[in-house]
Amino acid sequence: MSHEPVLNTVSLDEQIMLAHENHDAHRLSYLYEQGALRADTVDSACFLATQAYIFALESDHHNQDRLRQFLIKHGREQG
Amino acid sequence: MLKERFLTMSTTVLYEVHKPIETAKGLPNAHYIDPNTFDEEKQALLFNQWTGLATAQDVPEAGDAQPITFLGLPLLLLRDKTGEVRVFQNTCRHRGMILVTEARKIEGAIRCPYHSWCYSTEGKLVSTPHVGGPGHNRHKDIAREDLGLIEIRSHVWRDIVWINVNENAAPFETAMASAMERWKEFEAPLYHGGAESKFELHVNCNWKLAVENYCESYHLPWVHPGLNSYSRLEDHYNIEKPGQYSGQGTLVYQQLKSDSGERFPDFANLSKKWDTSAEYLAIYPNVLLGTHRDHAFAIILVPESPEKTVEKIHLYYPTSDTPEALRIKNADQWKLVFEEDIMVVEGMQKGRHGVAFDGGKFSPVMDGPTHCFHQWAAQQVTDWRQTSHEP
Repeated sequence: MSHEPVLNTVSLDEQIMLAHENHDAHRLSYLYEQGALRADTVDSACFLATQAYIFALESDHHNQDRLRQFLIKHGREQG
Repeated sequence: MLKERFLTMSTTVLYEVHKPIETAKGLPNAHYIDPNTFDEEKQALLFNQWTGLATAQDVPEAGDAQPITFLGLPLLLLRDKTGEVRVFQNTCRHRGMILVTEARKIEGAIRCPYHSWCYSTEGKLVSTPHVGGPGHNRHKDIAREDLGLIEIRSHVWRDIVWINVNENAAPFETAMASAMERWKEFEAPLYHGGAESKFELHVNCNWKLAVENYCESYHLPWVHPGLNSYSRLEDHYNIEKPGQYSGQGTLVYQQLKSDSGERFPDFANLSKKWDTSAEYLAIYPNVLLGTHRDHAFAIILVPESPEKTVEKIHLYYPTSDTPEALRIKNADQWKLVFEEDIMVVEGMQKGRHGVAFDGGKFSPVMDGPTHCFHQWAAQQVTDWRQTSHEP
């Protein structure tokens, strides 16, 4: 998946909150995808991948097709 | 007698407006000051017609979006990813949330700020996050193909974005055929003059008074004395196309020149007639157009309430590289003319609170374009009432 850097000194949750405050859809898509990659369960991963996918759609992020395919694979998005 | 006049505030009597100009009266006062009549006309005169909303240059690039509240209707003017100008109801199909609250570029999809349902710039519903539960983005009862944005019927002509909210007008090319034919020589690209060629006037009058004042030349020597030196009243002619438009023309248009003698270029391939002619059409209901050999303008009248109107004015040129100083001079000249008209439209508005005013007596010679507009308005309102839409 994506290799955009995540600052280790700040938790992912905090970074997500900051990106929400900044209305930075592009960044939110990336961060939620990182969350999805770390998720323990399929349900959790699909929730976070959905968040990532929506912000990818909004910002026209290059990861949108990858996220969509992930969700389709798990039966969570229309094919 | 006064009691009768007050009674007409709820359902006006229009038979005297339908009469020939020699014996007709103008629209009753209620059509200018009464909120209920304003609402009736909103349907009959504006939502039932091809009405001017905005200009295409308001959204110049793909993805540009501008929310517009028009007569209380929340709309979204948008240029989709293919470059087509569209108008949508600015309302999410889920919970009715307003989608876009300020003019901006849509980078990808339009995301509703409430539950994040997403729409493409073509209006398709493309995602419904968590609609079937957390992380489940589909549900058998959510048919995305049926839940796209509500698109408002629209058409772009002379850079104006025209809308037919009630979707019951004839096709645009049919409804506007006569005006298009009249000005077919001017069917050429229009280049907006830029920031200095765009201005707004906020006037305290009913929108129809702006139409009525625009379409007749009778007032020119009194209200625009500066025009009278070269464009005299006798150089003008009336234009009347019942049911569609009315206006005026002049036979002595003179091009604007800079101090060094520079002029705007002409539109290509015009016939000789346009060397010194210019025409000004009020396209019913709310778009006022002017055309000349070397420039054009458009005024969109935005009715805000029975007694408040915004005039949105745009000037256009035949090419994209006209001299800026001359464009500014031209805009200033037209602004002066349009500002001179404010006194009379606001004065007529105040006059319509005189309860004994009977709609007014037309000059059979000079007021034809105004009477033409009144007859159209009266007919549309009458038709509206007869189709069981009681006010």
